[in-house]
Amino acid sequence: MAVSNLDLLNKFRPHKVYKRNWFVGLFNFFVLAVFWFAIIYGATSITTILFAKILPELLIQYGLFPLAQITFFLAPIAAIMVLIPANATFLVLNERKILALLTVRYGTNRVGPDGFLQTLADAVKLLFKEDNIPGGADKVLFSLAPVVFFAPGVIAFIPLLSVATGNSGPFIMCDLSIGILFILAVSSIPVIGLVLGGWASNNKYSLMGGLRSAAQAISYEIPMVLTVISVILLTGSINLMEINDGQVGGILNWNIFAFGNLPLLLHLFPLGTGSIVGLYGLAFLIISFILFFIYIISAIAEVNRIPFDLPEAESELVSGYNTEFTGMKFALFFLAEYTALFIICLLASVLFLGGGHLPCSVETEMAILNSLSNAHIAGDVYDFGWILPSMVLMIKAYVLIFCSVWVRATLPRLRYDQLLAFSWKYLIPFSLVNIFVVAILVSIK
Amino acid sequence: MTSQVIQIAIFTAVGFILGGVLLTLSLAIQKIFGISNPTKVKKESYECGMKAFHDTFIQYDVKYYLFALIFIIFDVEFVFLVPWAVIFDIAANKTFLIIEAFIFVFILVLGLIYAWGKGVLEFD
Repeated sequence: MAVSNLDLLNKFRPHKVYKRNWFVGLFNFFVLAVFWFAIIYGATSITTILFAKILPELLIQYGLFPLAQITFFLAPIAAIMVLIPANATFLVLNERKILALLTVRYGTNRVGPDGFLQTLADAVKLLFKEDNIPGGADKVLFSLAPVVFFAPGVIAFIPLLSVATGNSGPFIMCDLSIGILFILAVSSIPVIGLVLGGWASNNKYSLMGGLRSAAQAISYEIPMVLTVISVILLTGSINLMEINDGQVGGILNWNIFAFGNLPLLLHLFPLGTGSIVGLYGLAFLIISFILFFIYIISAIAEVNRIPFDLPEAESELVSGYNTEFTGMKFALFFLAEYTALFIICLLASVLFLGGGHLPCSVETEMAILNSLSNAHIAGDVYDFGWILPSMVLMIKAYVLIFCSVWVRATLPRLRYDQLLAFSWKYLIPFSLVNIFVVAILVSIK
Repeated sequence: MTSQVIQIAIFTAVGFILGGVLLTLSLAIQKIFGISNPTKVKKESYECGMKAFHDTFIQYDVKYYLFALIFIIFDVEFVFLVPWAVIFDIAANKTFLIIEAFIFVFILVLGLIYAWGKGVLEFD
């Protein structure tokens, strides 16, 4: 029997090196994820029902009609305010657990069964931590920066909610006709928060972190928006709901597979005069893959994640822009960062991966939807048709988040000049050319 | 159209207000239940071992500013390209649209090439 490295290590080391079956770890993580999903879903839907149904009815009983209307109108925002902290709490745990799995460790396993409540404990700790403002800091801007960083995450969520719930109940007012433009516009505001936080804390590390993050975020926003413009060219809409509904009916209708031009590939064989149409479809397929990868790269860079996490490179900048922040201000930065990642992944799944639609035929999906919702109270919050699209969208986003954590566990950090050069010298010219290739392809349809 | 503008304005305002309220509330909780023990050392800004010898409200590299300048040009470009992209699918004369957008983007790309040649994109 061969002696493995692990056995050798165990022989000479005082501490036992634990072998962990990766499958058991993965299974444990899966169970944990299911429980957290239940918590997130339960909390969000209870809040929504409270704000959209129970409170307005109560207020109308007491004759306060305008107040009831306001409560109904605020239901999506209340839902977001519950969803974002709950979701970010799980996202942090999720990331630590996946990183542990990928680097063969246990990860968090102290608070709760298998570390189930670890991040909740962290959140409570952060809430009661001393709020320290360093001397010489600009006090107003220092307190304002976390809010400026956090609020856009809340706002950018709104158009995504209409997709996630299939425009049902109180969420119908979230459906903006300029959805994508709104999200892109709002999600570039957090940079101001980073620069403010970095500048106001009177710390060189923070200042460098803030400046770096500003330069990086604006550099990678350009290829990202250019990619989205290509998607708009191909789908002909800036309404998220329309893009989402254009991808209904099976995995092959998803935008990542040639933007609905996949059937053209059938003309490729047998080779002959007809195969030009097939080549045309192939061009669409290649373009859609390129667009997806440019989007993912620039999105990961935009939310400052490894391998693009230069603003908070701990080996050179301590913690970047949030070095001086403590307690709840730091927590808000943390929360907003993970929310930004979640929004980016949600947007990627809406734009490319079929959004809230199941990878099955329209009839099957409609059957599932009808079994979930009660026809006699359609349009109501108790109409549970929204569960399906939101669940599907959430799972797709979490698959993308898993990939981003995988990237984090795999790749080292870039050098700063390489980082900016990659955007300005490769991604931007490439995506500019891409727009015209897409335009020409669409025009010869 | 107007209702959408109002909607966006309300959502934006409520988002910022809620962010502020969340921070204020949690700071209040911290004030009531948490500890607060500010000392002289704690109030110093973080430095690796040494005392920080002056504040950071100083001049910094002009490179960041130049990046921001080029970015603004491209950012304005998006605003004009988005409506172009939306109507492209339904437009009759697509060749004209492509040539038009090409000239528009080409002028901006000339600016990028100029900046590239001047060494703005090099970080040292």
